[in-house]
Amino acid sequence: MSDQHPVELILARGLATNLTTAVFLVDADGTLLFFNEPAGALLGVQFEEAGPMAADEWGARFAPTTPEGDPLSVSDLPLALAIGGRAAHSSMRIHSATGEVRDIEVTAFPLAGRSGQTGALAIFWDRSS
Amino acid sequence: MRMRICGTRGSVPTPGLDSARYGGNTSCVHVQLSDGTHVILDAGTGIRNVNRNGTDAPIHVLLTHLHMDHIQGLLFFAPLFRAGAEITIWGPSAGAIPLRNRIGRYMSAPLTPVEIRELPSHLDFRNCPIGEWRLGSARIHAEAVIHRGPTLGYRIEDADATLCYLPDHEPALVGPLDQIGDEWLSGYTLARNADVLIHDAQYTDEEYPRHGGWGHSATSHVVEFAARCDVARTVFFHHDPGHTDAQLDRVLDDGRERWAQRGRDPATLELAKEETVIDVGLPVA
Repeated sequence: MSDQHPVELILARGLATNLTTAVFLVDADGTLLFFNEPAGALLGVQFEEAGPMAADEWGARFAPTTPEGDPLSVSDLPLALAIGGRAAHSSMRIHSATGEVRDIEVTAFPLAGRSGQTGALAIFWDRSS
Repeated sequence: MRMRICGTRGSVPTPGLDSARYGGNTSCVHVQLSDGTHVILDAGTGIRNVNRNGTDAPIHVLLTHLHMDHIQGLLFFAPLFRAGAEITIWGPSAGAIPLRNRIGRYMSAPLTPVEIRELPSHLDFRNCPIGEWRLGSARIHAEAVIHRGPTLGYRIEDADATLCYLPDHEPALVGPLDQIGDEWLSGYTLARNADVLIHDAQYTDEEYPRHGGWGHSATSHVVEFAARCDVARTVFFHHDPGHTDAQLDRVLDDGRERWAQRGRDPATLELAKEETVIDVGLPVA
């Protein structure tokens, strides 16, 4: 019986759903579990359409680069560092699903419950807005 | 596995003629496992009704959380004052403060005349493990659930029977339950396919909007949750202290009507009533 997410992820999704800040939520393996509507607006696709995806997939799908345009690997992303147990922040550039280039700021932090770390959460915002 | 409901009420004890039928004691359920182990779910004032005849068997008290209505009866639990009694109190962890110290805030001056260290019984306090663990003949599964503050729900599996205890639970806090997938449904893992589900049903659907976020459920939430988890028998629990027996009868009518609309047998949904004994896993009589 492992098909229900830990309560801290359930609550995090509930919080994210009600925020106008863009939020991206992953589990302890880095699998994307949810992103909210503001995040969908930035990414150019809503979660209901994109669905859950593995870390390698979401890490590549939005083609993240440094602000100067140098490619970023999945392991360099703030969320990957947060999955590793520490908070992280960075500026980056992504390519949305609709082809737009966005310069964003990302802050990610680990989510730890009573059973240990169960995931990580990132908030991000468009620097050009 | 046999369970006996010793306290049904939420929030505060509710003695009086208007609550005599369903009972006015706060949350407590006494479970006797197939190997004779005594498990007590929460320590509301109903715990005074447990073990009236005494027992030498070890006692395990599983606390869901430390709100007053779930620990208020502890100091009035007779075995605590009996030398030689072995009692283990399990509860949710909360940071670095040991469970004994957190409960000691209540069981100490000036709130009580007796300190924990003065009790003659052998009293042990333990953080409840998250996940599955064994207790006597049972497999216990504890998980955090949605309520205010650190709160656990319990699933007890013993000799092919399963009891799920979620006395304080607001799964609808994160959205309408019919729009939430099973993997995002708090308590789902604990309650799925249980023979008996004891679940928070503090509010009517009319009352709930004024109490959203307080950590409790409305009638329709429990019906939806029980149906989604496909439980065999559902017990509405943690009755609101403002509800008289007559009002609770109407809650039951409403719940059974909703349950029947889902094609379920209305007899498999009931209100918790003090002194009710249920042999978990056996069909409703």
